[in-house]
Amino acid sequence: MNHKDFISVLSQRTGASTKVTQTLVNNLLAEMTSRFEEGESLQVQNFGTFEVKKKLERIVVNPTNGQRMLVPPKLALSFKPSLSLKDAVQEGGEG
Amino acid sequence: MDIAQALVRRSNIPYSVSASFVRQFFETIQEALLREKIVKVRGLGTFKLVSVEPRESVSVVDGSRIQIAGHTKVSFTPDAVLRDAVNKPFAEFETVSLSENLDLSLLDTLEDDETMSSPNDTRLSAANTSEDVVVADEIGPETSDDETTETSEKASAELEKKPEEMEEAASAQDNETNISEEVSADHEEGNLGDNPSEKEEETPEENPSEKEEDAPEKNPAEKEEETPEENPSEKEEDAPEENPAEKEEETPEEVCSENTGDVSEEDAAPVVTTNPPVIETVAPAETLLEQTSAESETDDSSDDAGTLQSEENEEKMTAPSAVEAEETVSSTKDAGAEETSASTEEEWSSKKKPTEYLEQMELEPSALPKDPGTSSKPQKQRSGFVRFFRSLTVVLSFLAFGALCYVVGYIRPIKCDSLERVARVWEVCCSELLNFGADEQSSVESAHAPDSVIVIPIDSADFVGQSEEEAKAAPAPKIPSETLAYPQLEEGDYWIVGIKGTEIMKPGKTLLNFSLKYYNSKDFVPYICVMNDITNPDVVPLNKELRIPELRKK
Repeated sequence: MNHKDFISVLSQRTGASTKVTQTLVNNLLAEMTSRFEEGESLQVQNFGTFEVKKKLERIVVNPTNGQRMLVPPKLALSFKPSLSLKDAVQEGGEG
Repeated sequence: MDIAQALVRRSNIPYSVSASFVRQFFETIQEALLREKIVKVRGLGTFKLVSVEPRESVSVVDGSRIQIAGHTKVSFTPDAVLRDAVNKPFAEFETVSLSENLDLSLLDTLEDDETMSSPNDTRLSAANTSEDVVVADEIGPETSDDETTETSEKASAELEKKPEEMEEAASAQDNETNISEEVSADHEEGNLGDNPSEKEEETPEENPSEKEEDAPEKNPAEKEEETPEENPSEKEEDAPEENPAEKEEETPEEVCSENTGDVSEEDAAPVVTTNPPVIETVAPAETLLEQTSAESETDDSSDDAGTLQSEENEEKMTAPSAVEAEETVSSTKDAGAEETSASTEEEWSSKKKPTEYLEQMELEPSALPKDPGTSSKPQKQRSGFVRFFRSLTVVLSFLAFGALCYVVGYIRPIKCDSLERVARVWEVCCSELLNFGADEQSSVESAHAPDSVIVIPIDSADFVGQSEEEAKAAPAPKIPSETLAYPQLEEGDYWIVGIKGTEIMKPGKTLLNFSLKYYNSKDFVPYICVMNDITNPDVVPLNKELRIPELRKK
């Protein structure tokens, strides 16, 4: 499901137009992004936890030419699904 | 869900609507995910269901093998926009391709040299390493060849001599503390050179393959060595033939101790030429020695040596060296020195005797009568040990230098450059041999056992004990003088001995970058910090000029 489908489905569920829905989604994501930029984690009940994690720098070797590269540290957004989501996914997967 | 409240502020909608919307938002994602296994939300990212195959693993509790059932997990890949926004603080970091293996190889060679060399050798500089390596390579084959050519007996002789080297090195260190720096430098060189010299000495003797000739030569030398203990006059009388040769060798030793190392090296060069031919080429060496002796304070010894030298050039280097050492000591110091030299000779003879005995039983009777005389003065021997070691080191260095020159091919045209290189070669050789010495000490002791039966049990025992003690003292770490100019990391394994380069702190650069760039390891950040007065490695001012330290292993 791509973004367009997602917005349409969401608009149907909320009963609002896709345009309004898109605006709301944008606002919501902007809020979330600003929080992530602050390094905060966001926990959504029955869905999961978004968390910013720091990945340490590391040395990698290019297997083709043996070139050794130093990969700098970075901040990455990680998502850990909640237990309920896991269970739901498991059931869905089994079904 | 305070995110709903934030949404209220942003969107001008009632809280109930906002909360409902947020809930709907995530529920939609979940439902769509379950239904289509993938949901893409622009600005957030992609949720995907990934099926994991069942696999076997090991239980953490009891180590038994367990089966992990296949399952489905949720993967989330943040959108590029969100990813960059989150990573904004580190956005300026770039993946750096590390320099080629040059740095690493250089570092390895450095470490190898350091490991090979004993802790005494703090002189090895990065610039010298390459040459040193080359020299080591050159020397290696030589030694191996010698060993192969030599019989098992010869090998045993070498082993015996190596412990001597260890002892000498230790004595040299002791002497250094007491004596001036120049003298110490000479000793060190001597120590370094001792090992090769010994091998070379053995090789020329052995190479002729004429055991008969060797035996007579060695025996007189032994006799001479032993005799000096009793009376200096007796020494000369006993072995006039041998004495000249010894004097020749020792005179250069004197020069070395008195003059700078360069002089000794020059003197040694001719000796080297003499060594291979053993008999014929001694004459030039003598002339040189005479000159050097004339320069030095020991006029008497030089004169005697000159006369003696003219008489017999054929005599070997080792035996004569002991007598010469006695003379030099006496000239430089008092009559007490003679006793010390005698003791040194005794030790020398005791060490060599075993080898000789092993090789040739015929000559033993001649050596035996003189041996008892050597054991007569144990106390004086102890007092003279230091001087003895000193003289020994000088002699050995002289011989070693000659051998090295012979090996490397610097026989005749010895210039300042060649001398420097030879000095480096010495360092490498000594380090190698010192390392070997530790292993060989046990073998030496075993070799001494039969010897003691024949000649001097007490002396040999003392000698071995001292050698062990000195060997322990030898590895004591030495602080290179260059370190005084730079701040040092106390607990580190390396000295900061110079500046390897400079770097400007730019955005995106880290001390880790520099450590990896210059040392191919991230363990050297502390040295950079110490070098640049950086207290907090996480906070380095922009555009700060960083000095990258040149390191040398402690």
